[in-house]
Amino acid sequence: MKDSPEGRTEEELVERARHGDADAYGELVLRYQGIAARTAYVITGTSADAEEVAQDAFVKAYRALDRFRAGSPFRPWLLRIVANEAINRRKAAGRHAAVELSEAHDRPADDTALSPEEAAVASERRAIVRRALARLREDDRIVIAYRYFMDLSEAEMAEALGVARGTVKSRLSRALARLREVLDG
Amino acid sequence: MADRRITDAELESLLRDVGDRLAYPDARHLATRVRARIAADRVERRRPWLFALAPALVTLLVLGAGAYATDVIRLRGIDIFRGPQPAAPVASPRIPGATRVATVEAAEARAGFRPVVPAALGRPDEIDVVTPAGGSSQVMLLYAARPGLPESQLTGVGAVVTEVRASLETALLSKIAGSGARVEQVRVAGGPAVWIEGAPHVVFYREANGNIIQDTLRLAGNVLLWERDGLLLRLEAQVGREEAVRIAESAR
Repeated sequence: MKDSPEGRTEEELVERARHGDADAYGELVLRYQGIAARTAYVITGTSADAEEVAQDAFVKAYRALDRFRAGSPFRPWLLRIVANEAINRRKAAGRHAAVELSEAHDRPADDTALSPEEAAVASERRAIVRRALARLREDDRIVIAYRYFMDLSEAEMAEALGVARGTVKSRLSRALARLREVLDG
Repeated sequence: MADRRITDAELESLLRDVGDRLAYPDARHLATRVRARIAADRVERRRPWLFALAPALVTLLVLGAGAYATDVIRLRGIDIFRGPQPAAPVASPRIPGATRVATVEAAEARAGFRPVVPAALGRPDEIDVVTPAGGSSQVMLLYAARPGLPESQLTGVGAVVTEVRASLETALLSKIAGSGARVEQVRVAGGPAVWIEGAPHVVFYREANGNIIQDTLRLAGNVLLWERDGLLLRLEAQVGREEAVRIAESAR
């Protein structure tokens, strides 16, 4: 639970937002807009959809603040709303769960330690993993993303996935096993 | 994917690398957009008639603190629901863009309907009309404070009556009632009405360009909403419910 620049904790921001403080909610959005957009992207597979999903989710979360359990962490609660929103949008559009995940083009190369051949191999390996991820069911993809893309803790993952904490490990290992099946297959 | 099966550690490292490089959407402007939508959203989702009022007043918020049992009241098209507390209000009863007129007749000529005037309040001290391009006009009758009609600390006047051509059946006037406000269904001359007590209000406007603006200019405490002769009327004054109903029933 990081402090805001003004020293407000997440809990204080949520409490203020619940009482209609738009600045406080804006600060929460600023804090979590990146992870919300990433979560949405992993499910929708398109940037445009993901951005809309994240926006919708933040608006819905604001409206649902009355139902937020005071004192519990905001981030996983929000991510659950984001993921639901993304899945609903995908279903409403009649699209399959499989998506295409792309690599950002504008990312500065940081493989300078690698030879051109090694860099090409690394790039190909990433592409293979991306394609395999894209073929997974979205609940497998999201559990992998929470763990490895977003570094959520087990407790946060449980909250975000809406499962008991004890089942997070098995969900993750099953998802990794299915990823391996796709990779090996 | 390779000659040998990669280890778990290698797969995890590869996954982190993949995750770092995905073409995620640009999220930098989300906060701005979300805030704009939160302000607009409350209005747009349920209140189609209010679109026609641009840039007139479209909805009011009642704000307050503390728990109140009535979360939602639906009265023939009026949705009243508890919402978050808006920012601190600014005291002024005037709507930007309003034209001050001298008489009820002049208001009628400008607004396209004849405003009713509560006889119990006497002659209005000021009459304003807002006539947005392509939208419904709104007439406001302002009454200076006097004995029995205390000055609102927020508006600086004794009473404001706002009238717009709409009916409770078709009009969806939203009041987001803060938890400190009492919201009751009452009757005015036998017709349905809503009484909101104990909290100031914030107003939303919709600009001609379609933007919804949260305007903290027009505020009042207790509010009575009722319908008469095809008009939707709102009385804002620091008076009790019975007095407000008496004033409303005196409208001619």
